Amino acid sequence: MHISEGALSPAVLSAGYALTAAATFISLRKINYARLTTTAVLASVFFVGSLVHVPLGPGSVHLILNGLLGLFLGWAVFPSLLVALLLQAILFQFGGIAVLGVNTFDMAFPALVCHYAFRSMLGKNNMLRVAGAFGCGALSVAGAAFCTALALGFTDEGFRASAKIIFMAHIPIMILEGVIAALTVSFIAKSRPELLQFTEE
Amino acid sequence: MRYCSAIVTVLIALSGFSGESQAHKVNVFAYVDSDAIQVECYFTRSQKVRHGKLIVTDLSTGEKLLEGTTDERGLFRFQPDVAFCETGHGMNIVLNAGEGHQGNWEISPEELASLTPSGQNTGPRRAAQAAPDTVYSQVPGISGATIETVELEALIGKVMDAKLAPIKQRLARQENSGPDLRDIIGGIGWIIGLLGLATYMKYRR
Repeated sequence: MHISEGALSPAVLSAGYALTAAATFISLRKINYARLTTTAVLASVFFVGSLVHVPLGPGSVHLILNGLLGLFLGWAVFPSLLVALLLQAILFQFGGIAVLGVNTFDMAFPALVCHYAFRSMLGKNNMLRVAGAFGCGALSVAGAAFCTALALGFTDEGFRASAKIIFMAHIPIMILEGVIAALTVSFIAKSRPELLQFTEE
Repeated sequence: MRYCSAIVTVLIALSGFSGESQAHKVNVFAYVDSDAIQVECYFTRSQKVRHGKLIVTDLSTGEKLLEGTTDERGLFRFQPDVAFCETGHGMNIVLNAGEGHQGNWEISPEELASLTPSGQNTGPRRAAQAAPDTVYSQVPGISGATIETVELEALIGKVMDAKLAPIKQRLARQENSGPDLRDIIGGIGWIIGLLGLATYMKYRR
């Protein structure tokens, strides 16, 4: 899901930076210092998760885990992904510095939307909790595919064509990340329920 | 938090630090192979870029020289214009593999110089110019008596190209190598460092 350097027009790149900067600013004002460690640890999870290659489906895909981050972090998903993607760009040459804004927004925004869409389900019974987590994990990836296709569509590849390819390539990842999110949430609900307190905020 | 740390550890283990893991990064590399330029494109060692669009441009002016598409094995081979190789400009090969995956590889003017008649005393082209009467079917060594210097140079050049091709390939691959354990641990270190910094700022206030 990382868009490479040079694939997008300057207008899209600047729009990406502007949106990411605005969202990161809002998120830093809202940040809860008590949850700083969770934010950092989940940023590490994302940073490493992108290295896990999933040999499924037609394309070459890897774990994204933006849904998992969005679920637990809410607005803090923006600074968290910004740092992780910056480090991936510098250390692994995934994506790049110029496209950092677009890449952060593409993955963080759907995760944030899913956080608000599904978080009320997490405080409910076990069944709803698992369903909510699965939805958040899977739909965040779908949303990221949609945003990436949109960014590419504004440049040259044509939105419909790229959306179709990216979406198809990520179907196995959507299911896998839904399952990962569901397992993580049900495990945490049993072992450390206090970590899920954000659902009542 | 213990559980989250466990997740990070498991993910590091899963990632396996293999070439297989860098699926979202597309790699291009190109090298001069006898009288042509060989381009190889791949996502991972086993996953080649099939039908990827390639654009070759002049590195200095950005002018487009030619376009091409990779084959089923992620390969593309083209013969550069000799007149271009003589200009002393480099080449930039840009691969667009779709889905926003893009990569490039630069070929230096020095490398291209070996394709010019002046830089390539060893090339058959030069040999043909210098000795138009030479019949090539007469392999030197078998005909025995007199071996033209140009012929010998052409022969050595050819053998050297064949021998060096895998080494060039390996060097190019090494430049494209994926993240290693050091990078991964380093990145996590950075995140922990930033966490420390944020905590420090918070308590100083």
